[in-house]
Amino acid sequence: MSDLRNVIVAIFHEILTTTNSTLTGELTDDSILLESGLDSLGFAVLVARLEEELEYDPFTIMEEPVYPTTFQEFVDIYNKNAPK
Amino acid sequence: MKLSNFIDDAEDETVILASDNMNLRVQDLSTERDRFSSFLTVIHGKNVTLDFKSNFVLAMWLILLDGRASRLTLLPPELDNENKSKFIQLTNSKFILSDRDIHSVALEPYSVNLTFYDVTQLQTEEIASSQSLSDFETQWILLTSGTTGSPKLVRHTLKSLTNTSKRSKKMTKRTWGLLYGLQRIAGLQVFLQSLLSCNKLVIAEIEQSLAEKIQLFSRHAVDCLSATPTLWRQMLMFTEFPKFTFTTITLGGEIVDGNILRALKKTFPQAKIRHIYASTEAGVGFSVADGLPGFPESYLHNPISDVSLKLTETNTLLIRSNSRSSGYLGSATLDVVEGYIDTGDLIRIKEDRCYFEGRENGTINVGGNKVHPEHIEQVLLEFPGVRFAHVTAKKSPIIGSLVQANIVIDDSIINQKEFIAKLREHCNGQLERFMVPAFFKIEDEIKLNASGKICRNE
Repeated sequence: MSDLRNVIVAIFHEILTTTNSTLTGELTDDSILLESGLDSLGFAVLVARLEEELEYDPFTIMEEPVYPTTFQEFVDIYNKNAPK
Repeated sequence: MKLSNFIDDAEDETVILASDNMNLRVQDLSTERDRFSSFLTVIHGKNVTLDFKSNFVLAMWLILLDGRASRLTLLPPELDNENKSKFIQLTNSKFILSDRDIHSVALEPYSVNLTFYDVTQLQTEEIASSQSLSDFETQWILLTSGTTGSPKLVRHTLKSLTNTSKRSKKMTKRTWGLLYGLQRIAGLQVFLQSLLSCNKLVIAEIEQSLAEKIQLFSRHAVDCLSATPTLWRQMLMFTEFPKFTFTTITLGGEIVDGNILRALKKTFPQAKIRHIYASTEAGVGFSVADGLPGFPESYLHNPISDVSLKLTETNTLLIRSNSRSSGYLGSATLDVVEGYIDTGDLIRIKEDRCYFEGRENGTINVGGNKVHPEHIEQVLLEFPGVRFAHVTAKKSPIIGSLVQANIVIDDSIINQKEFIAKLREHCNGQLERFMVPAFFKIEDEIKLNASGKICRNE
């Protein structure tokens, strides 16, 4: 479980760099995604990059669309929708 | 009929426009009209260009100027000076109105016969100069990038712009939120719809963050909102957002998918949800309120209100309606065949339903922003080491599409990662943020077709 979280954190930081965004404060479970330094474009790139890395995109798979507010919720979506 | 007539029946105390720190009531508008009466006489029957940064100030001046100026040209404040000069000349504008001090020098050589007015510095009267001058059917000139990269001017009238707006018979108290810029058709449609029914329009400004805009709307209890799917997805990520009690939800500007429709239905079960198909050239085309993406195939066979839809041989959507503009200003010609405009949007039919597939010319829609692949390719090719470049769309469930750059680079380049980092930096300096490729793929070769052109439709 924590492996997945680590991957997400690593790529999160990668996207911050490539989209010229700055992390506001620290990235914790409670960090509000849209206030973390990533805007919707950065967020979209993050999801696309994660799909490349993890080979699945929960936002495309999801039956019931969920829109995460915090970082923890974001990671949960990836855990819940991981292919068996 | 001019804009100010829309609120003739409203009571003086009715708030028409609201912003962060201001409320404009019907009687305030009358006061402003009296205060600026001399100025309004000066511009009467003339062509005026409006270059406003503030949506709120622009909204008020649109109400004051419609029916008085013969032509109103709306220019976005971020437009470059070269294009501004070009359009001022093309629209034969005698006056530029702005809400800030814009230097005439920057607009040489076209500024010779031009008079600049900063509305915040205008001289006002205590008593209105009583001059009853006859109304004009003001021409509204809007900017669009059309089907190619270069901006064009599109001609409308109040009639063509409000063709599909309905006047609420019950005059129910609604409060609209404005998220868009007022210079584009999306923003204008919200403004006109709100004004037509004497509702309150809560106006957000460009410099506000989305969080601030949502707070503003919440303070004013906005219950009607129009936004792109990307914006709706973003707003749904705010914890407080589900607390809104929307009665009317409108989507447009991008392809609307089933996921966002379902999410909105779930979060706001009491709202009427519709997605609107519109373009600057076609005006407002039609709307779909059945909760499903795309539109029923039956729309292609039976006109909806006065709107007729057809498909071309290449499956692009043709539209004919009274909402359409009367054409472009300048040398560009609006392609109209038997009254139909080719929207350039590709349609796929599946099980009695028409779905939007993207643009025929390959324009990429990044969160509502039009991106032209060729332009980005040019920028990429400027960078030493890039031999070929092909820009494609990468589908995104978050903002519709992202930009992907597929490139062939010099064999001599060993450190590819470093090269990409520098190439990205080069793009950052030349392109707007949403145009900068989100992904770079290094290819061995790029496919060319028989004429030696890049294969774009695979």
